[in-house]
Amino acid sequence: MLTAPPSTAPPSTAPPSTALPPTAPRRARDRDNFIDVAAAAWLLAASSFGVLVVASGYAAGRLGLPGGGVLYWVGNLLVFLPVAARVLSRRLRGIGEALVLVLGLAVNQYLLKWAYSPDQFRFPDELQHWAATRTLLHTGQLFQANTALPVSVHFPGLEEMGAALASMTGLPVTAAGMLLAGVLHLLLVATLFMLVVRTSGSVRLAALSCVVYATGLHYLFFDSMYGYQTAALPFLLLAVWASRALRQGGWPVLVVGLVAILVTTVSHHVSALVLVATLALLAAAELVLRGSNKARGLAFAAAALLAVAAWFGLVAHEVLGYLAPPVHNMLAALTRLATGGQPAAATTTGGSPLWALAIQAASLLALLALFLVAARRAVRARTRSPWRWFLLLGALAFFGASSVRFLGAQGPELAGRAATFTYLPMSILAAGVLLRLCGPASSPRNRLCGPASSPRARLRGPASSPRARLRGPASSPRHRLRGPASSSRTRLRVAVSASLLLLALLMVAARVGGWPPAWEQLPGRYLVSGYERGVDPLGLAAASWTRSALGTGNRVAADLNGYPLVSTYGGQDPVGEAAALYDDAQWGLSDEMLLQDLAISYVWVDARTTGQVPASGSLFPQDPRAGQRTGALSTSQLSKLDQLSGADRLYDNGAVRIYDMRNA
Amino acid sequence: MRLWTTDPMARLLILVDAAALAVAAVLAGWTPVAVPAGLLLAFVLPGAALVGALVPGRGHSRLERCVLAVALSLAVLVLGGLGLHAVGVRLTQVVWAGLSGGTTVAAAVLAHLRTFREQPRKVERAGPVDRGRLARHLAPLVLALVLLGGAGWLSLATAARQTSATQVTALSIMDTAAASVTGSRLVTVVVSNQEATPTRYVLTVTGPDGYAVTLDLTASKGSAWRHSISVPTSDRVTANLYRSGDTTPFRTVYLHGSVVAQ
Repeated sequence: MLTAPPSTAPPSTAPPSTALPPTAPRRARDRDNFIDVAAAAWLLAASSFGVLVVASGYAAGRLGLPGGGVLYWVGNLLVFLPVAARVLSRRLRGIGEALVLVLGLAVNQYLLKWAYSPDQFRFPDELQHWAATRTLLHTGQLFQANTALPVSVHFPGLEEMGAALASMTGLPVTAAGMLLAGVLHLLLVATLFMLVVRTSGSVRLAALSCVVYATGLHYLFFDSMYGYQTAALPFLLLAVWASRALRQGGWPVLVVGLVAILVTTVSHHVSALVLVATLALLAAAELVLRGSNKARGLAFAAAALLAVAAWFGLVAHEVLGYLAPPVHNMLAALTRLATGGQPAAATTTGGSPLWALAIQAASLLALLALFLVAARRAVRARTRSPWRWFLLLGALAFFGASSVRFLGAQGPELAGRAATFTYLPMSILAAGVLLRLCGPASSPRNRLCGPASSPRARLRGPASSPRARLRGPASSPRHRLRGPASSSRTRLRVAVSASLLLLALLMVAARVGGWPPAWEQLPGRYLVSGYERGVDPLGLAAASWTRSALGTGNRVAADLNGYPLVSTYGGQDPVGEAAALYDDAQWGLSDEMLLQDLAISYVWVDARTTGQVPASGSLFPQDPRAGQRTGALSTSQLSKLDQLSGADRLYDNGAVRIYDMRNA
Repeated sequence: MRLWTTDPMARLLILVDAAALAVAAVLAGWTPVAVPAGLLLAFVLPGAALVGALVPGRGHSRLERCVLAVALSLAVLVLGGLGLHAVGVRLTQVVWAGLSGGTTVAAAVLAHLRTFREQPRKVERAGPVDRGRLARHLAPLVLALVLLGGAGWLSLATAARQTSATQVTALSIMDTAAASVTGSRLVTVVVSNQEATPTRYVLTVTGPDGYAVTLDLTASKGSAWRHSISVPTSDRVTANLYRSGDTTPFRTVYLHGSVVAQ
C-alpha cells in the first residue's frame, strides 16, 4: 500500500515527503491510481512498436539492406516520445501510471541496446566483465587476474552478481549477464524515481526526471551494459536516497545506506568516488544552509569516505594508477589550452559530422537555458533547500564536465562518462523547469494525493502561495484580464509541445553524441577498428584458438579489434602499444627492441587491415597516429613477418594470423 | 492463502517455504525450474525478507519496498560473497544458493520476531473484477509483448544469419615434441572447418631437401581434422591447405627450423 505522497504538483518548491498517516479512503484512492494504467499501457504499446522499428533497422544493417538509418531514427523517436508526451501532460494519473511509463521506457530502451547484439556480448567493456565472470564461475575465487581489465579485479560486485545468477539458474554467462544488466538498469531508473519522490514529493517530477535522464549521452549503452558501472549506479543512488530518508527512516535506513555505500565501493571505482563527493556536498549544503542535522549528514559522508579510502588503500591500490593517466592527460590538455597551445585533436572514436556537432551544441545550449532559469529562480526565491543547491552545483558540474569533451584526445569519452553522474542532477533540475512551464496536473486524483495534502506542502503549495496564485493559469488575475480559458489551454499546449521538442532534441543529441558512434549506429558487416562491429566469427575463432593451443597469459600484440578478443576469449595478456610492429614497412632493429621491451611472444595480424581505413580513426588501443590514419595498412607492412627468420605463422583462418615471435 | 499478507506467521511461512523450494530447485538443476528459482533467489527473496526485518512497519511506500527488495537481494550476493571469500569458502552453486536461501530464512525469522506481536492489519477486499476494465489494461500490454517478441525474434534471427554467413576454416601447426637427434620433429596440423557442408581439402606439407607430404581430407561442419607428421628440423616447414580443385593455397602456416634437442 502506498504511503508516500504521489503527486503531480509543481516541482522543486515542495518539501521532502514524509510518510503520511494512511487512511482507508486514501489507500483506496492510491490503489485505484496504482492500477489505472490503461492509457500508459497503450502508450507503451506504441513505444514497443518503436522497438520493433529499431530492430528492423538493425536487421537491415545486418543484412546490408537500405533504409536501416531511417528506421533507426523513426524507431528511437517512437520509443521515446509517447512516454515523454504523457509524462509532460497534465493528465498523468498518479504513481501507477508514472511508474508503468518510466519503467516501460527503461525496459524498451534496454531492449534497444540488447537488440543491437542479442546473441553475444560485443562491446569491449562487456567482454571484459564476461571473461571475469567466467573466471569466477570456474574457479569459485574472487580477485582472480583479468588481463582484459586489470583494475576490475578489485571491484568484483558485478562479477559476483553475474556468477551467482548464472550459477543458480544454470544459464550461460552471456544470458545471465544480459538479464542482470537489464534488471540493474531498471533498478537504476526505479531508484532515481524513488529518490525524486522522496526529495520533492512529486510523482510527475520523478517521472520526468527519469525521462530526461534517459537522454543522457551514455544512458542507452554504457549505463546499461554488462559493466561494473551498471552495477554500482543504482546503489549510488540508493545511498543518496538513504541520506535524504535518514531523518524519517531512522536506523533501518541507515543500515540500507551503509549497505549501498559498501556495494558501490566494491563495485566501481569512479562511482565510489562520485558517491563520496555527492554525500560530502550534500552534507556541506546541509551544514551551511540549515545548520541542523549536520552530524547525521556528515557522519554518513564520513562513512562513505572511510569505506572508499579503506577499500582503495587496502585492496584496490592499483586504482590510482589506473585513474591517474586520463586525469593527467586532461590536465595537460588544459595547460596547453591555457598557454595558447593547440589541444590534441585526435580522437579514438572518429570525428563527428558537423550536423551532429550542431545538434549536440544546441542541446547543451538548451540545457544551459534550463539551468539558468532554475538558478535564477533559486536565487530570487532565496531558497535555503540544501537539496536544491546540491542540484544546482551538480548541474554546474555537468557543464564543467561537458566542456572536457573539447580537451584532448580522450575528452569526448571522459565527458560522456562523467555525464552518467553529472547528468543526474541536471535531469532533475531540467525536469523541474519543464514541469513548471507545462503547468500543474489537471487530474483531480493527482491533486488529491499530491503534496498539497501534506501540511508543509499546503503551506507552500501553489494554491496557497500568493506568487503561485498570481501565476496560476486559472486563478491568475492577470490571466483573467487577458482572455478566456481557451487561451490558457493554448498556451499550455504550446508549452507542452515546446518541451516535447526539447526532449526530442536532447534524445537525438544523445544518440549522435553517445555510443555507438554514428558510423556503427547499426550493426553490420565487419569493420576494421570497429569496436562492436569488429567482433565476428573469424576473430572469435582465432582468439579461442590461442587459449586452446597456446594456453593463457601469453603476451600477444594485437590491433584494436583483436585486443579485446585475445584478452577475453583468448585469456592472453594483450599488448596494445605495439603499433610500430605493424606500421614499419620493413622489419628492423627497433622492432626487435620493441618485441623485447614489451615482452611480446605472439603477434595477432588481421589481413583485413589492408583493405579498410580504420573506422574509429585508431588502429591500436594506444595508437600514436590516432585520428591521422587516412589509409589502410599496405600488404607489405603485414607480410614483412612472413620473411622474418625465426617467426612462425602458427594459425591462419584467411583473415587472422597468429605469429610466434619468441625466436624472431 | 494470499500471496502477500500482513499476518507475521503467514509471511514467515511463505518466505521460508519459498526459499527452501527455490534452493531445492536450484540444486536439482533442471532448467525449467532452476531458472525461475534462481531468479527468485538472486533478485527477490533475500531482499524481501530483509525489508521485512529492517522496516517491518509502515513508513515506506510500496515502491520503496520493492526497490529495496531487489537492491538488498543483490547486495546480499555482493557483500555475502565477499564475506565468504574472506573466510576461504569457494563460491559455487551450492554456496550461492545457500547464501541467498539462508539469508532469506534468517531475515524472515528476524522479521517475525520483530512483528509477531502485531495483529494482522485489516486488508481491504478487492472489489469484483471489472472484466471490461481488465481487458482495457491487458489488450495493450499483450500487444506490447507481441511487438517486443517480434523485435526479439527479428534481432536473434538476423544476428544468427549474419554469424552463420561467415564460414571459418582455419589451419594451424604446432610443434608436438622437441626436435630429435635424428633430424626430424613431430608437428601437429589441425584443420578446423565451419563450412555449411562437408568440404574436401588437400593439405601439402613441404620442407627442406625436397620434403613433401600430400594429404586428402574431408572436414565436416564443426569438426577439427588433426594429423601428426614427422618433419625435418633443418629449415622452414610450410603447410598449405587447398580447397579441392584450387591451385592457390587457401590457408598457409609454417614453422621455422628448430634447434636439435641434445
